[in-house]
Amino acid sequence: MTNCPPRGLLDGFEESRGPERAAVLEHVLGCGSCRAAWLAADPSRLFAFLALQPVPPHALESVSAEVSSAVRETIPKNGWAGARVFRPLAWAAAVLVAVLLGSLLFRPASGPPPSDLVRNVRHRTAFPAAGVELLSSPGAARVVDLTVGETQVVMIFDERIGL
Amino acid sequence: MRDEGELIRAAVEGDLGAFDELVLRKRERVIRIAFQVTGDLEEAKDVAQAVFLRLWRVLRRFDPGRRFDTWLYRMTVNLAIDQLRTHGPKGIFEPLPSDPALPAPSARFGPEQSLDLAALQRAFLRLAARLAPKQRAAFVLREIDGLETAEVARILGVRESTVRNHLHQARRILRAGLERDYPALTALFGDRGTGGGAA
Repeated sequence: MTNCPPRGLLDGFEESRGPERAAVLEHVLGCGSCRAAWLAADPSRLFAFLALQPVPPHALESVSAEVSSAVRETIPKNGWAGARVFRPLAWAAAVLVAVLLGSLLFRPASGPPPSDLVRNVRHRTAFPAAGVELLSSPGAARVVDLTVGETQVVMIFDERIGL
Repeated sequence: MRDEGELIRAAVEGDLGAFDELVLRKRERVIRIAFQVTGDLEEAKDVAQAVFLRLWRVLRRFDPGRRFDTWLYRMTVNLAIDQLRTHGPKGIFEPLPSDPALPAPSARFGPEQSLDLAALQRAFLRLAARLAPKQRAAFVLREIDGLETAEVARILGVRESTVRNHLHQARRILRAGLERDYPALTALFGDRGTGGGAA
């Protein structure tokens, strides 16, 4: 063959890149003398020709069909557009429900306000050593006065508040 | 015709037609790589399906600054190697089956010679069963698929020097196997391959 590639290109086949490599393969397919030299250097180069073997069309079609079907099963019935609209709406609804539940759970119990409860206190138990007074109001509320020095802390426990 | 980048962007947005087109463009190479690594067409199809389904799930994570093929073939090789490790080398005597409606595949060697690709495939599957999975994958990607060493390294997640080492070992084992078990194959297409021999 007159247009044989340089010997260096055949010898350096393993390091050749895409188009260069394809050109060598194409050439040695048709040129017996180059092929002999090329394979003599390394007979395992013969396996490079496996790239010419086509994949059976039925395998290609089968993979496409299976993938296409499986992918479509992952999509919501309304499609992605529906899902994109639905997602923010779902979040908004969840926030609304949380706010409503919160207002129901944390609303003040009916009955007299805490200041009235304090006025109903009948007994006071003092802990002078700690500067703590335990106040009680049977049937109404329990009040614990934790005032120490100038810091006043009063805790009111009223089961009717329902916290 | 949309380019690959456009198809990927459209598929990420949920365009099923674009994703189908991506599968259409990539399926042959994915199946071929999976087949040469596992040695079994059914397993190669399973691998290819798993690869494309995974691709659909994770496509939005694809970094457009990277090469898509490298990413795709990395998934392919990893799944094929998992399959190979789980089930062992398959199809030791079974070449890639050809479509009955088509002529038997062969490579023309000049006007009078042709290489029986099915025979070559049988030899490869039998001899490649002796390779370690990563040696086999490196050989398939570099020598059969023709990828550059640097890209093979990225796909396998190893250094280029490791790929060269895998390739060196794989060639040595395959060369020894060819010379020992298939002397006629190498003699036919090598020493006497001057265009006058018979296939």
